[in-house]
Amino acid sequence: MSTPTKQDLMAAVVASNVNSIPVAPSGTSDAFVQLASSWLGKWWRLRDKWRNDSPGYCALVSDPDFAAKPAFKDYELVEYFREAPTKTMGGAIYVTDQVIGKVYRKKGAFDDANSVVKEINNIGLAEAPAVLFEPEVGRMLLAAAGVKRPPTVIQLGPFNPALTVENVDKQLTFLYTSTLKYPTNFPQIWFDAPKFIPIFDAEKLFQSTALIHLRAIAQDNWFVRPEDDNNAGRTDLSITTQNPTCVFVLEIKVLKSFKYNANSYALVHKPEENEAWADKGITQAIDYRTAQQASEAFLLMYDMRQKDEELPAIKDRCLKENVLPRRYFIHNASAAKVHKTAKQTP
Amino acid sequence: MQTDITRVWLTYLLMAAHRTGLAPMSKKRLHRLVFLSNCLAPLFEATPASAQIVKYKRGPFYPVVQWELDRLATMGVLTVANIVYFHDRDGWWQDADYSVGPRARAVIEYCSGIDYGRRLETYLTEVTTAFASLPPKVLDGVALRDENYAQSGATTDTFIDFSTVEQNLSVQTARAFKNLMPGGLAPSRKEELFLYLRFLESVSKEVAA
Repeated sequence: MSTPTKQDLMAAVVASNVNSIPVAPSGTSDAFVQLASSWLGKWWRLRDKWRNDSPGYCALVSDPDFAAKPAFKDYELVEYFREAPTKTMGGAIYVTDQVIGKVYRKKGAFDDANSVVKEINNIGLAEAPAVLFEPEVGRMLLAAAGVKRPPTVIQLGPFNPALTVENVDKQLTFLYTSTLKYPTNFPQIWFDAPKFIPIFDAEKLFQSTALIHLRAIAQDNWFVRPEDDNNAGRTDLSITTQNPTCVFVLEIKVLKSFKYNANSYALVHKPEENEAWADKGITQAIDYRTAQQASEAFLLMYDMRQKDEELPAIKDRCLKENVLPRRYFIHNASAAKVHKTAKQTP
Repeated sequence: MQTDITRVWLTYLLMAAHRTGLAPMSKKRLHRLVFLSNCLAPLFEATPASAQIVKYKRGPFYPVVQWELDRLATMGVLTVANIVYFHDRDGWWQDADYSVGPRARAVIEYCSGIDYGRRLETYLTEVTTAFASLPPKVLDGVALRDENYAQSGATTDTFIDFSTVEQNLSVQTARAFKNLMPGGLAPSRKEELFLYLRFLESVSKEVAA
């Protein structure tokens, strides 16, 4: 067998590592959540090879100073946790550093997320970044600001590695239905949900959540990149495959009825402003498609307006310009409340 | 001034090592991490604490860094433990484990109040995190495979100078990843750093095989 060249080694390194490098600056809560969710996504793919795994919830919690805490004595060091994933993930709390290097475990009857949160509170780590995980169904609860705050729910599901419009659509729709659609699973996106006021930087949050979902599920099959610099600006998200090289670009725009206001006043965001914003998104998607020589360009409109209504002019221009428009209506109340209101409305 | 920079550099590195589960860190591993952090500093537009090294029989080692490490330990900024003296085929040597001390946080808090300190912290956190992301069994070996350290013709006692980008083969290799990214994507400086250390891991495994 011939010795691989330096170029071969470097190419192999790129192929197997780019997706797992957290985008957020190292040492931050976001970087830990990105790393942990990517690692759990890898675990989820391995899980197919195991016939069964241990039931119950588990959690990865980051606290580099854990060894100085009184609860430390109840935890055992797990060697090679990151390098050699075990099938017996469930029913345990794992407290670790920022890179899942040193991992301390406590096994227990953690049947649900509530019992995991209780334990995390008890050991004084309620504000530490954490990812809760249900290994049997692939449900992740991302708690970058700790379990004191409501988490973002990410559901891992089926994945087809072929980069096609259909497969990207499947992932985006799955992300929408399992995470984004109702504030029950994605509460952070609303600054004031009853008043339909999104947070200040809602587009960034949609972008980072889509990034986490796509990277966790696609692993090394798709290169999923945020903010990719090109001579037309910065693409919100791009998805690339090698052999054959294929690039899709995705531009994210948020539609809204009211603007963020620190005092929670409902400042009106006019319909024509939404249309102009989405129209700008089409222009950006076209420019990024050209700059990155992409085969497809998506315009993802996360619709946080009061009413679920089409934007016909946007649809028409997308059709003309060969941009794929996707609009996802984001509810401001739980599914139960939305359905109840719908029934009451004649 | 250079002395201060070296001390701050070491304090940031040890704190990052603590946060990534690497501390306490052996003297050998720490000098090697210092070396890698010097080699790759230009990726983050940081000025290396030292851009020259003499290739030593025991691997990357800086007498000045050792002096400052022990001073920092005496000052309570770092801690030193498990000091051992031993004799092997290379002669007498001393080993020890270093970690953050009770005064480290105050030093870091002060330094990070300055723009230069914040930028240094950003870089040293990234390089230590990239290093800590490697499998434990390669951590001591990767610096020996570094492109500057393992450059052709460099034998024991060779003076290695990587003070310019033209001389810095590690940075050149890290930047060459942009030619291998799929679909012409441009790697971020963080990705260049992480990919370079992963590349050293691959080279180490290749040599071991």
